[in-house]
Amino acid sequence: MPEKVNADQGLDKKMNKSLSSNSKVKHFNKKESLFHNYEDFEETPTSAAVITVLGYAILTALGWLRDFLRNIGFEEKKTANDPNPKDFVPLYQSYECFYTRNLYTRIRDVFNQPIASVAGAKVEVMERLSDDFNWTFKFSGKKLPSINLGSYNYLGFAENQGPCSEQAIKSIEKYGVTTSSTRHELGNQQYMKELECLMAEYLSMEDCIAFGMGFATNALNIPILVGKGDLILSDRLNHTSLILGARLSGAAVHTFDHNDIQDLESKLRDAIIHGQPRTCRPWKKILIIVEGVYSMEGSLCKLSEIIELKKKYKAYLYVDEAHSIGAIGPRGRGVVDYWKVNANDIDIHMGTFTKSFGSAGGYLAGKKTLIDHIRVYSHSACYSSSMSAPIVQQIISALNIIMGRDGTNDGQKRIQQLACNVRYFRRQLVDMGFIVYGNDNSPVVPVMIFMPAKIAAVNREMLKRGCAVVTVGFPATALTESRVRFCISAGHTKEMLDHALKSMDEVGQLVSLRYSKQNRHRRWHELNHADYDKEYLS
Amino acid sequence: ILDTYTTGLEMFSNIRRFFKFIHWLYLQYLLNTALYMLEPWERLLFSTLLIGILSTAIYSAFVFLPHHVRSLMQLIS
Repeated sequence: MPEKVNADQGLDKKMNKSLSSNSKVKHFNKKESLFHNYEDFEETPTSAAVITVLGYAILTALGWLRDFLRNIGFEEKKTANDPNPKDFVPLYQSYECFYTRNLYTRIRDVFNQPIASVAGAKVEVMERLSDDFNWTFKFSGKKLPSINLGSYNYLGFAENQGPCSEQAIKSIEKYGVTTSSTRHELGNQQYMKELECLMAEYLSMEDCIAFGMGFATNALNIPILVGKGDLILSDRLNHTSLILGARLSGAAVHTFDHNDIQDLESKLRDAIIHGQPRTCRPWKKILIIVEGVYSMEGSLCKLSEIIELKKKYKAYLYVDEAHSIGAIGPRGRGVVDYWKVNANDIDIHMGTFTKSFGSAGGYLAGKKTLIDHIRVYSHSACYSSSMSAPIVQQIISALNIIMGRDGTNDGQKRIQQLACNVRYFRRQLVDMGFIVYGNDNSPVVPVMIFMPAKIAAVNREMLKRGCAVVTVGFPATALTESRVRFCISAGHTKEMLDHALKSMDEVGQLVSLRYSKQNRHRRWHELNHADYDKEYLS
Repeated sequence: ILDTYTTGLEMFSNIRRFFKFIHWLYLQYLLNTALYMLEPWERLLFSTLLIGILSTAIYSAFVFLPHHVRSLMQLIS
């Protein structure tokens, strides 16, 4: 019986979504845009799905043919060879290597492109040429200046000029580059304490601890918080670092469907009613792990509803704000600011400094007792070397600018510029007829390209037109859901965004990327630009 | 009749547009069948196979369909 109710609700939700999206396209007024939390995941059109699967089938068949030719010796083997001695387990797993040899290598020139300048709003991509179909590369020496639509540079702090970099250089002159020690031994510098106090104030939490690597913050600190006998409820689309941390901890892990509050509630109820699997003892603690902004979908988590659930069932909440800190919310304080919830309702805030602050590292924030426990027991604090001086100084300068402590309102301007850019860019892409996933306010804009050959085509054509984008396929996304992911920055001017949109329009026409069934397909010159310009300048 | 006669220059650009359209169609064929990422000899192999199968089907349709349709009509009437 409960399943039927859920299915009906799901259908109603879908119908409501398509109705509301139609009305949104027709009537666009300013009041609606101030806070509309509209999130959409348009369904894959059937024809696109069928053609994608057929494309993969053709590639697989030809991959078998090439492997056969390589095995009989007709063609040269260009990959590392597993010697496969008798009675030994094979070193390589079969499908991943097959995929790498036959699918990934053919379009390898669009992934891992080396750059030759600071990854700010514009970047110089080094040109690579290949004679033997991407098995080996040669640099032609030419650098292609392009608009950077792939770096996580949300507030535009990745620059080599300006107050942040000057202060970072001064800090090298004062402290040197390395501390040559871990934090537990002799590496607990004064600037670390300054950073942690400043960050705790920024998030309005009691205390904060910072680590040198964002991935390691998740993977090495979740084992400190939970262990055997605990339950982790994590979203299906969580980042690898969270999954790794959950696995390392030894706790039981259950996943719930992405942003599905009913599913989370039913899993919570099951966990509390049934307890641990064999002994039926109650779980020692239940930790819900969600992300602020999901980097592959661009969706925001439904924080207010999750907090309600957490209070009702007495679970703990861990929010990973890697992409949302600094970029979301009217004052840049992340999803907490966006949803206007009490920051103390979330037990552990986690975030990274790589994305909005233009630096490297991660942090954990929460109550002082919790952070003190992490300070003593964390693997990362105990064994990895402490953060370097210029990196910390960059974060401190960026924080001062965002909070307005340096006397200008540069920080607030950057946050508003980012919000304007995101709205402008997203609206035009949606109105042109592309399928764009995610929330309207997230600076991560994934546009769907379903077929494998189009991944390469889009990347190469955009690069020809001067836009460096990131196109992702399997295994970062599902097999049939490859996408091109734009990351908007506060450093992008309106002209850069216009150029990017025009290129996307041309590439979309060339490669036929307009799949949307909800919005009409329009060319760039058919859009009513006065509308968007008026909205941008407000 | 004089109004519908296109000048020499317009005809040239129309032919160019036509060729661009054919090129666009060829690109769609390459992209949708994933031949875009394959080497030239693999493209030749797959295209030959595809054209072979399609031409065999069309040829058999031309040769055998009239006879089949006639015998079906006889069966019905």
